[in-house]
Amino acid sequence: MSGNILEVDDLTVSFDTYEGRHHVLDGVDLTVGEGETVALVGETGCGKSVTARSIMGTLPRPPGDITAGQIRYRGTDLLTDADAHERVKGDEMSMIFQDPMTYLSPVYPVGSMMADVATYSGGKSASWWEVLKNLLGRRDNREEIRERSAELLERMRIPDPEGTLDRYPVELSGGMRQRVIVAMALINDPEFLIADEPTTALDVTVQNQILDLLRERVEERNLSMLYITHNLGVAREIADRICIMYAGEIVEVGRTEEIFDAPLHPYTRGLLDSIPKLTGFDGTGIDGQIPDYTDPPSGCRFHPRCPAAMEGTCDVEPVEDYQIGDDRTVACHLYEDGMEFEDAAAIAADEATYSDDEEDTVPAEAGTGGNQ
Amino acid sequence: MSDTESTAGDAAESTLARRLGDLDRIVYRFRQNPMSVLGLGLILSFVFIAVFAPWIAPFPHDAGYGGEPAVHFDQKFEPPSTEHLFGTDQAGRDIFSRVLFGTRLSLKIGVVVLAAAVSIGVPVGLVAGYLGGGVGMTLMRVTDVFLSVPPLVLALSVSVALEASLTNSMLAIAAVWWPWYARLTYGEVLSVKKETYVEASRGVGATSTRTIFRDILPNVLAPITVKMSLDMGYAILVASALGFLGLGAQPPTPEWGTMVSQGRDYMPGQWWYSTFPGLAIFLIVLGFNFLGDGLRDMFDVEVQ
Amino acid sequence: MGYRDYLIKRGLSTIPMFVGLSVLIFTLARVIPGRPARLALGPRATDEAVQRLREQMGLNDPIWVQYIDYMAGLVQGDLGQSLISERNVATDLLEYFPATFELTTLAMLIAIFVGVPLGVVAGQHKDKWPDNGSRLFSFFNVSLPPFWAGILLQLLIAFQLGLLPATGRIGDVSPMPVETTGLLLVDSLLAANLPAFVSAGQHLILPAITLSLAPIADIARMTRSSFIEEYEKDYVEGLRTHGIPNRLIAYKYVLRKSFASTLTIIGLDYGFLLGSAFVVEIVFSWPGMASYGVEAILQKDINAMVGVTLVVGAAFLIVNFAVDVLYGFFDPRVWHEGDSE
Repeated sequence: MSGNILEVDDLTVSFDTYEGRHHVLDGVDLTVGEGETVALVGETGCGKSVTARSIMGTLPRPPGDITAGQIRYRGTDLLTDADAHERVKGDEMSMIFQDPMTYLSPVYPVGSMMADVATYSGGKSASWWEVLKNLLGRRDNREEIRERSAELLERMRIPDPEGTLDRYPVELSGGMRQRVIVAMALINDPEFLIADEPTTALDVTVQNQILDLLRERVEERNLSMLYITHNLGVAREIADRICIMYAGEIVEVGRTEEIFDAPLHPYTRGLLDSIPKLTGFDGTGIDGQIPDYTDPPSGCRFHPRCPAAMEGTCDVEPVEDYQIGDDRTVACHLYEDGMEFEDAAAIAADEATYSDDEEDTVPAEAGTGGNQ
Repeated sequence: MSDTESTAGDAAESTLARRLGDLDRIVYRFRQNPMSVLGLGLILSFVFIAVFAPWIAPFPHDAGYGGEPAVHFDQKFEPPSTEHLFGTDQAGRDIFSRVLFGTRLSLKIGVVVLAAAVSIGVPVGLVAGYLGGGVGMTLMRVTDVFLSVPPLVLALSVSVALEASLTNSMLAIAAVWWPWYARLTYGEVLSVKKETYVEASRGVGATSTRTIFRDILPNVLAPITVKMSLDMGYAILVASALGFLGLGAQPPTPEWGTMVSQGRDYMPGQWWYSTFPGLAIFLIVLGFNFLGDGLRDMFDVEVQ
Repeated sequence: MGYRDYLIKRGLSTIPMFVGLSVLIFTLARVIPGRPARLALGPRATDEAVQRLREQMGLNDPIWVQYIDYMAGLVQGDLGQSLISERNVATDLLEYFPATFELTTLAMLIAIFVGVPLGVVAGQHKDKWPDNGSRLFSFFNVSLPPFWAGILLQLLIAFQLGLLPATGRIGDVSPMPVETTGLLLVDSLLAANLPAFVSAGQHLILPAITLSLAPIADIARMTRSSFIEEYEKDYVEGLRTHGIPNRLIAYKYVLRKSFASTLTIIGLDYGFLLGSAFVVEIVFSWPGMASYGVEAILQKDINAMVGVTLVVGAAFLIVNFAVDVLYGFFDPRVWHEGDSE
């Protein structure tokens, strides 16, 4: 499809540890269109961060090992072209992280780090001479970079941007630090941003501010974003499309509101059920735990916990992505490729349920976090 | 970790069992580390030499075996040869035999010093840690005072106050060493005390000594063992330094440090005199360092 | 808190520590060696002579009186008389201290400039051969008895190869350097006395190398482990994600943060060296304070003993203060303690 800035195709990743080989990602498919914000939603440990790092190229290998798949950025497969990956990383792709305190170096003022990011991203290398100069505080384009940094900090609604550049991370509050991280990611004007749970470590009001900032940026610059979170409420606020991930597999993809209206995959339904509603917490949650990656379940990885699991099928045959309607993909044996949406919704209501309650298709009114 | 509902006895046993059950894994890891195996080999060789010196050494009488060391002035200052592997000294004594016998001294020093240090330090630390409160604080203050004096100064002062001899130098070094063991034990006892099951054990009515022996000691043993093996090397280094200065064993006792010091008078002509005893010191300390490091990795312990 | 306040606070705290140290050393020196007057005069001296000397030395006064006397003298520069040299101990110290200072400082510099890069390289290539090689090297260094290492160097390099002198501080050069600081290298530079400079330098090399062996191992080991610890931190990943080159990450960010712990080791080792350089000084016949101190202990020369130990203790405190200063420079979090989070 044209217009996709990022296409992840059948990404399979394993990790070697002393416990054995973890088969973390099992054929992940993901696309992000230009100007689109896609949320990658899943519980902790499902492989979201591994996916993000594989895309960025910062997956430590070893022990990580990308055994199959392609990651195409504007058509170029980054996995086969290391130079392109280096170039794209930092110049066109950028990433923001979860914990602003640990992701900023404590011994340098914020401005110094931002200047380094501005100077070096895009695969440039540093000679010994440059390192020495840097240590002594001199660099090329010093004024210009400082201006750019201050301007960006101002856009992030940081009071006293000039002064902040000279402060150490320890002197700033949590919200300010996260804004600095966002600014650092945006300083080279990337076209694609991966946000790895940037609001998880913040409290709710700050969370909203960061989300606002990101949304603004998306609108202004047509920024494409992959937003990773375990929080469906946040996803709902910011994403155009949602990908639900479970145990290294993408189980459902669709437009945000449509997913909330009519979730199809049993896991998605379970997730939505678990959200506390204004009317009370009557969700049952999903029994069981995420699988052991050294010996993952055969067939569909969700089948041991699935209320609709069909013996002989779900535990044997691997799932494929089925197209439902014109804008939904599900990886579940309950459905068939090319099915009509209404039929699928009916099946979902009948079989993919966790309780006898007839209200289980009522969409969540109040997501966790996020209020207007 | 342990379930608070399990009985104290179960919990203590499970810790010990866990430690012993880990033994397989531990031994496996030890074997994986070539340096520690090498260290073990070196130490075992030295122990062997120490035990069988009278039979291995070609001239045991030169080293003082069976009385005063023999002298053969007609053979003095012979360079290394097939007959005298390390040459002879100013009294014609075979240096090789003397070095071999010196192993006994060095190992003895190391063992005695550490045994003394441990037998003072560990009980002090145990008592201080277990009783806590005023007694504990006082004991640790005393320990701290000893720790703040530069070690060599203390050792020198003590050994000088007494006559220069092997025994006194050992006493001096032990006096310097025990505080580290006290502090180590104290720290371990404190952290073990925090474990729930010790509380539970006392709640059930187990006596204090029982608690100490069942619960605390096994946990304390590992870091102490590691430290002891690391310290052996240092103890021998310090002892040989004292010998070098003339404060330890007196000639004609074949102590390595003393021999190196004597050899200086005859440099560079009779280079073998200082070289070989020093080499022996180096090898035995190296062995203990390899071994100690391997043990530390094995037990996964944080020891200085 | 501010950097300046932090420095003042640290600086002031050295004073009580020095006082405490002086009390401790003074007491030990009076208490431990027995009968110094008797020993000084020899076994054939009469009892009256011994008593007279004891009076003269003030040994019959209560200890705290002796202490106050001593400290009063200290402030005026009188450290008592040495039994050996029969001069004011302060004069002796002034003569011998620069030699030791020169030697230990050079040894420490060698240790830093060899040990730190060794540690960084080992940390960057963890568990591969540079790392294992450097570990092996460290093991060897700490196992070497320093007196033996010195002797070996003398045998090989001085006697066998004849490359460098075996003993002493300076050869027979004319003109001899004028003593301004007592540091021969500095003095000869100041006087633009090249042959003296070269000779002093040559004499320094072997003992400095011998003395530097153990600290090299310590520093390399500490640098390596704190480097590795830092390298696994999140911000390194962050920097790498933004495409910052590895070299910059290692030498600008990681080293700076991890250097703080290495600095502590450097301080500790330097203080330790100042006090324990004596074995090396003896082997190389280096006329320094450490061997002076050993002689004092062997001869039970109380005033000299106390003087030497005080100097060592004071030097240790000064070095620690310097470490604090630099520590604050490397890790700004230290002086931000107490700021609002």
